[in-house]
Amino acid sequence: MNKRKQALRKLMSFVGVVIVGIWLVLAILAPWLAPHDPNKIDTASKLIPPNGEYLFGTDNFGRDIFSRIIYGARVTILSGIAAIGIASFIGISLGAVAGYFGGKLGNVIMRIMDMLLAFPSLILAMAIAASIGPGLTGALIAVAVVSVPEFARLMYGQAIVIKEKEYIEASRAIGVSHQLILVRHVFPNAIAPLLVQISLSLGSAVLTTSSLSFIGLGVQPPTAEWGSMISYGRDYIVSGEWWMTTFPGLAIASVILGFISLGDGLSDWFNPYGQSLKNKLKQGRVNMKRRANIFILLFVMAAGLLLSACAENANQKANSNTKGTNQEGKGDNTITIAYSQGSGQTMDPHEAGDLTSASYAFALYDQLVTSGTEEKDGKKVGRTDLIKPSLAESWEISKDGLEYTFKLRDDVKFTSGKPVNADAVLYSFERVQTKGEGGSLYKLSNIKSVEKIDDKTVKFTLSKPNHLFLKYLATFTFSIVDPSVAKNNPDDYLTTHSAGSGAFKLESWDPATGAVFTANKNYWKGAPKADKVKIKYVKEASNRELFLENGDVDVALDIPAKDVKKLSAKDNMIISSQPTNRIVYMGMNANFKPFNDVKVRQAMNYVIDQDKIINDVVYGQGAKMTSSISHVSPAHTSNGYNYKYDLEKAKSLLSEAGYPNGFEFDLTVSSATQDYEDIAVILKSELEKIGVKMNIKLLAPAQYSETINGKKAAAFLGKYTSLVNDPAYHYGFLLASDGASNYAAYNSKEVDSLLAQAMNEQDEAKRTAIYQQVQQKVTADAPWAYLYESNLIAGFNKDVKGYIFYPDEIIRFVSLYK
Amino acid sequence: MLLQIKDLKKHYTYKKGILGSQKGLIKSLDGVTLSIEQGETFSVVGESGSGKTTLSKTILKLIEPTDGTIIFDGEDITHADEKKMRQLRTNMQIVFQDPYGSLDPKWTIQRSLEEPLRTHMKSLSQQEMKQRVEHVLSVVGLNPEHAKRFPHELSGGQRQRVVIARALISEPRFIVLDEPVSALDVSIQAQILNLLKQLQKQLSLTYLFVSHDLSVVRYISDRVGVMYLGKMIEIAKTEELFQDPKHPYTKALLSAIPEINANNRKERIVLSGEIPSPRNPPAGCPFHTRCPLRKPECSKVVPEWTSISENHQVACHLFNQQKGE
Amino acid sequence: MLLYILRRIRMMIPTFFGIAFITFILTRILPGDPALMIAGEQALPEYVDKVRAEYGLDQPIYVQLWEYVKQLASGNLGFAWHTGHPVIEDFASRFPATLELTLVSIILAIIIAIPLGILAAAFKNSIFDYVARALAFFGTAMPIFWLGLLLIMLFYANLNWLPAPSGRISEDILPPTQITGLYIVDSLLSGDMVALKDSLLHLAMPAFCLSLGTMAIITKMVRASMLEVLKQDFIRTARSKGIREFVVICKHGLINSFIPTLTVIGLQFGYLLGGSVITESIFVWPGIGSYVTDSILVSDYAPIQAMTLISAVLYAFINLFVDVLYGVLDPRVRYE
Repeated sequence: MNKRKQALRKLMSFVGVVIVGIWLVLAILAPWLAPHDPNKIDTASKLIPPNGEYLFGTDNFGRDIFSRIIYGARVTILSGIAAIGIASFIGISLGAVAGYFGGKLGNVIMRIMDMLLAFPSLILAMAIAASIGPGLTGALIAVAVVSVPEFARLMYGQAIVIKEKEYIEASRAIGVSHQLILVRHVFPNAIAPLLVQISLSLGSAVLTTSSLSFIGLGVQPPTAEWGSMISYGRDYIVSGEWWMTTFPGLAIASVILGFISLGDGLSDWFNPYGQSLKNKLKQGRVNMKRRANIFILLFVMAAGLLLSACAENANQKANSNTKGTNQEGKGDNTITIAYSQGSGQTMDPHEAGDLTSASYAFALYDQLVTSGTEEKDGKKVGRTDLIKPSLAESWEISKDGLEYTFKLRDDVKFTSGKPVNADAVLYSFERVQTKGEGGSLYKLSNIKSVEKIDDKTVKFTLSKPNHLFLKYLATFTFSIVDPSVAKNNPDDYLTTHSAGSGAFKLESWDPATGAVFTANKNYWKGAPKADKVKIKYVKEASNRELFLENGDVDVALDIPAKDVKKLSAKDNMIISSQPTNRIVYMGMNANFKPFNDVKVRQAMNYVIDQDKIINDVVYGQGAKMTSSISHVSPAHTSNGYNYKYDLEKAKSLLSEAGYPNGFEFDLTVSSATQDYEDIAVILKSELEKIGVKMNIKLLAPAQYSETINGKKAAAFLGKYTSLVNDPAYHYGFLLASDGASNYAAYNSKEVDSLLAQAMNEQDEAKRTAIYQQVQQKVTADAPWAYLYESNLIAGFNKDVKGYIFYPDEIIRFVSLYK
Repeated sequence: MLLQIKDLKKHYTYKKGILGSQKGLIKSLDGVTLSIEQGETFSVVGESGSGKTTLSKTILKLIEPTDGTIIFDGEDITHADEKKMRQLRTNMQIVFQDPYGSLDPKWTIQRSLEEPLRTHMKSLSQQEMKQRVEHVLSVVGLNPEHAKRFPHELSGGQRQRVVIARALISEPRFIVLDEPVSALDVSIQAQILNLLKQLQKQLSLTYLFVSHDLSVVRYISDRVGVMYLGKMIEIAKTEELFQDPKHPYTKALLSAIPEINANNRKERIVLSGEIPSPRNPPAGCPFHTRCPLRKPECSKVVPEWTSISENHQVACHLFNQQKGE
Repeated sequence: MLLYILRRIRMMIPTFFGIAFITFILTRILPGDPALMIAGEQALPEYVDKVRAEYGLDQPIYVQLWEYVKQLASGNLGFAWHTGHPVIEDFASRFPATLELTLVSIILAIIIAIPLGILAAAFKNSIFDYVARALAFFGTAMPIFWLGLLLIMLFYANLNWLPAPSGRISEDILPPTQITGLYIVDSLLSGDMVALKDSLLHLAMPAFCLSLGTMAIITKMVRASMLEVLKQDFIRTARSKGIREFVVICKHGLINSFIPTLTVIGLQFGYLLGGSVITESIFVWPGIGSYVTDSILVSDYAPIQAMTLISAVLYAFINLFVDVLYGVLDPRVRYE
């Protein structure tokens, strides 16, 4: 009996050794063992299931998964070993000192260890990895720090016990120094459980490292790492490419298993069990069976209960959900929209700064003027460059462009019943100045004063002419709020309540899930056709698609480009994919070599294969970017854009600039969106072809923001959607030398003076000509490499009508109905 | 005089009260005075909790004394630092009670025996060390080939011999033996005791013997000291103590020794109560709470030493008065 | 005993301060200027500065620390700018989700692991033993995110037995009337069987994922301590007294293996509460795990600080509770 058990135990630890051994070999000999280059991108062979050539299939870039797994072993296992090596050294030393010497120092050390242990370890690891920044170093340090306390505690416990042993005292009596006692006596006697712990910790380290990468805090692309491979593969589960997720997971699990077996084996080796209990219990066996039976009985009863409850429900179905409120979603005219970016930060239009909150503002409030619409392909499309009356029914502009006098409608009331009059306008513009977002826009508008002429007339005086003024007035920031509500309530009342004249009222708002708006039946433009609009925050795109498919939501925002083809084929939904004024570009800061040379920057433009990017990254749901402003913006021109994908030209330009053998640089990318990582990966492989080494520096959004704003990035991937669709706004922010969003530090006197000229030009045609000049200059100077313009993709249930697309990406749901 | 201790005290503090703000005192040693002559065997007896082990460790400065003086070979070592003590350690060694516990289970006997040599006589060569180990093993009556073994491969008696060998290898003058034979079978006890006696003659050793076993003490000691609750209450030459104990506690202790010869059996003095906790030592004479002969002043005043004869002192109020008259 | 509890609490207080301090430091090392994040992309520099001042981010570190401590002392856990709500509100609305998930995982783990461990100890090398050992083996090695995705692949994408990983309840079903926030309890209390069934189905995969690790450890623990206990002398004594085997095993074996198992359960609870991060991320569970993850990714300090502090405090109290229970159950362990 004992022999068999011993044999089994030996087998287990043997298995552990074998598994770990195999992986170690794979990790170390990866370059020789991998059949393909793990980073070779070959989009033609993307998403191939496992076959002879690609043992584990290929991923969405056409890279061989088998090779990536072998290379991934290097990262995961070797970094795990490094991390645990450090952690065990530090932890054991600390524990030994604390346990052996005790005293105040020992106390403090163990307290700190306790504190660290009190943190949920993954969260602590995440925080540390995030602090240090995405990348292997961060993950390594995070894993090490998180592992130290366990070692310290273990060693501490051992040291405390061992130091009381008489042989320690005997050595003291002999006169051996403390240090030698620690090393020669305490340590060797403590080592058994430590070795076991090391083995277990290695397993843990592998798990934590891959978890961190899964979340996005670990290794950067395109390095192969198991956790991030699973993260990529997650988007492809429902579409059936199971191999992207399965194999990396198997790898992780098997490594961890190996380490655990090893640990178990070691533990058994140090502490052999006593004799078998079977003999002892032979007689009791009958009764044990009885006891087992009792448990089985309980199990069965519980299972039966559950099953019968389910069966009962199957009969009763939705009718038993007697509140009746469950029925509400179907039948009456409620539109449910699935949002992708959170459930909003505020209901206060003067404070709103994100797309979600902006859409709320447009639902709840009106503005003096509003964007117009036009018919395009039989559908209504919003034109943020066309201004139409709204609360103001007409207006006059003085010749010098400094005075705007608005005549308000006299039939508009707030939902409180109070009239929308000049006082309300004055109050709103006073209030907006005090808010952050509002304050910015107020300043940009050059408003010098707002006067009430009479109850229905308001005059704005500007300090300088501003041809954008009307467009600013149409934005959600300059919404008119109800003074009677705002003044009689605390300042943050409007954050959670509505006080407007708009098409909807706010019924409820739950931070975790969404908001509900009810129609304002007395809306002066006519009550909206829908009775209610429900906003649900659904984080995962696959879930948004699912809900749309099942009819659980009527509208799903932000559909990933890769699903457009598949979803368009479904007949219960319509996918709308429209170009916006969003541009995606690679910015190059001329303050960093070699981007100080315009030839280098131009060369970069020749490396961009826009067709390929649009095809591979956004699956055709985008447009080529031929200027520094999007093609849906007024005054856009592609004149001067002569770049195309031409590696030879790029190479020759580089040679001319003095870099015949290429150069190296860092590309700063935000980890917020998968697409940008993908573009970076493609760029990297293209650049390699002409000898340019690009290092992808993936940063968390906050860090990315900081770096960009500080103009510290030599090159970066940027995106921009101008809130106001006008070149004055766009260039004012992005490419004027003092532009707040001019992260590439572009500095051109010529462009600056052209922009100033345009600001003062009243005649639109002349203005357009100036902006076209600006565009040509910018394209020639090439502070940016233009990548593409992306579409706004949303899915609609086929019964939903009335969708009007606006290029500023903010959804206005007043027109929706079923 | 090889060793002299005066009024040696060891107090431990601990936290009392809900918030742990108060301090309490455990008086393990509460003022012990004695001296040991070169070449003699001085035994310390007492119940558990009397402080005898603390005494033995404090003398060797394995525990730092709270108060009092220790003078070894004419040198005041009370406040000697680590470095100084390390030099002295070759002269003063200790043998513990548990022979298994006092040897590192992961070390061979050879290595354990070499440890004192490596600490103090680093200049010796590999060969010389090996020779010394062999020598000392034969001195304690063990086969030199035992050196290659591990502690768990030896019997209790063999291990104790090894421990004694380790104590001897640095050629000390003074050895403290803390219950060296209590863990051994009776037959082995006799062997070890004889070995110890023999070694003492051979190597001119001085022993401080700590034990609770009175028959062993009687067999091996020259002089005996009785401790109770951290204080020494009677010191005398062995036979004088056993035949004419003065202190009521000593009397009670000795009466409990099983005596085979029925004629020699004395009446058993049974003490009432239990030994108080050293956290709350009684005022005055520590024994007064259980003493059948207690007097009023016993609970108030600590008795001073009285000499009964040249080699017999006792700390008891019963004898103070007689002296006073 | 009461004294012991009070003393333990007194000892914990400096630890809490230490944790709050560490959390504070950690969040301040988090890169990125939150003012930029809050202000948004198209904000003028003056606005960004204004935001920075509003949130006190322009103050020197020790002033910020002092503000933080004052805030904590008054029970204010801060404001999460990325949701636009005070952290306490966010926490209150999300905590029940995580709590329910954790509780169900533990219950699931206990229901399966304890009987399995007992049976495995009793019938060595039987099927129970192998299952238990296999569970213990694989359960600790399985990466949760992988298991979760596999389960989704199998039970949802392929077999369609279980609903999509879309949160706690299906889109078209209204959550039960809120009493505790735990859907199972609430739907039972209000007799809403539809919601009950749906919540259970949604809980199935994530709870199983989360419970596997715990299940494995508890099985191992129960099995090992049962084996230990059954070996000991007093079992022999009890049997020699002629007491029926059944009673022997029941009374002595089980109760004495209860204690280490209890410790493990207690510790696992603390771990699970924090460790639900990955599970919540995969199953889109609206709990505090995903809340903290989001906060870390956008460098929103307040939730991170509050959450780590809360879970550390919870963990410490759970430990205390387990220790006290220990003392109550085992007379050998008594504290001064």
